[in-house]
Amino acid sequence: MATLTLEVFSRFQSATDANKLLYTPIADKLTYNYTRLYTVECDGDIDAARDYMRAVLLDDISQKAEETGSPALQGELFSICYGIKPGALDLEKEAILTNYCGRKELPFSISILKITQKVYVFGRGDKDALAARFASDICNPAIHNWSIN
Amino acid sequence: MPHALLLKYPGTNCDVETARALQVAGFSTQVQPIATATAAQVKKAQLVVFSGGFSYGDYVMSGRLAQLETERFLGDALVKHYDNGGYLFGICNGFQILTKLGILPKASLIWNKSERFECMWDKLVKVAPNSPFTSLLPENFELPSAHAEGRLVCEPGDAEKYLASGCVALQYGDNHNGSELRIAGLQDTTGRAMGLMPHPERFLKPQHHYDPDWSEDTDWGWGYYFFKGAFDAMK
Repeated sequence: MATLTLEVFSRFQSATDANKLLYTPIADKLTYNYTRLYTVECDGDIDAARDYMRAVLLDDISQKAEETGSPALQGELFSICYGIKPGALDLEKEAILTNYCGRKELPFSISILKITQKVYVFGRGDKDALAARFASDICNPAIHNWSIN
Repeated sequence: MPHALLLKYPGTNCDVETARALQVAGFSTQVQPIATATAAQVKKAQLVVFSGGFSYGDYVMSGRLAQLETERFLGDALVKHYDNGGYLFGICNGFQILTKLGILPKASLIWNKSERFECMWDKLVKVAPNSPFTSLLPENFELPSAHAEGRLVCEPGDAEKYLASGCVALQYGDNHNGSELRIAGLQDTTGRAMGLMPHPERFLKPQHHYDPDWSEDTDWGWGYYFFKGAFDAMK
């Protein structure tokens, strides 16, 4: 069993006003950027699995990807990683796995696909209080799991 | 009578209007869900159309899952169709799908510069001289647009090459979405494959214009002439 990660981010997207993420604005001058983090557990031909992931998840013209597991963006005050809870409807995962299941010739098998959105918040301030505020406004406890780093 | 095959995906939502536009222009038209589409259906068609919508919810990125599913169900049938002289037309999400399929010049359609969905009428400029889809249109005209991921980006230097080689079919007047070189529509070098972000099928008749007093010297809305031009080229 191998674990592959692909953290995808746009070449054309720069950090922007973090107040866009909040229901009510704050005075701190914070900015944010975000990435999409895909984690796959698979068996078989790992190189083929990596190629498949890149072909499905990455657009070479407009995006870049970090595949080592290191964070794709640097210098954040904190980051929030959130995804759909197990058992809740995750249409993106369903669409990807439908394509995977329909390709019978693939020389690997995927046992787990985990999709998370990673929001990087940049600036200065009380990290714990700000992170809790952003998590409260971004994440929905009914459908999301999340972690703060 | 030229035959058009309109491929439909989960989330496609402009297929009815687009099929109607094709029929009004003279095509016999078949709307086909991708899961039951066959290479024989593609072979029978002179024109394969990808209409607007949000195929597969735009998950991963717009057009990507539609591209993968098209390749899974149809294999190389579309490439054969194109190589054998067939025509392809992509509107909005269909344009996004066509770029992903690699039939149009290499480009990608990403989030608008505003990072918002934008719904408005676009002023457009006809650029490519040899497109059958725009052959009946004036140099300047308008069409409605509605998209979130319509900002066309290319590898460095490619947009300039496309403009020089006649692959830029249309440019925006005001470039609301931030596309490179204001590109609103791309075509291949022959003009047989074209994609654009605005919606010609939404401006078939003068009454579809936002201005009730719109009175250009034409019996039809500008969108009609995309379909009519393609029909004339194939009949």
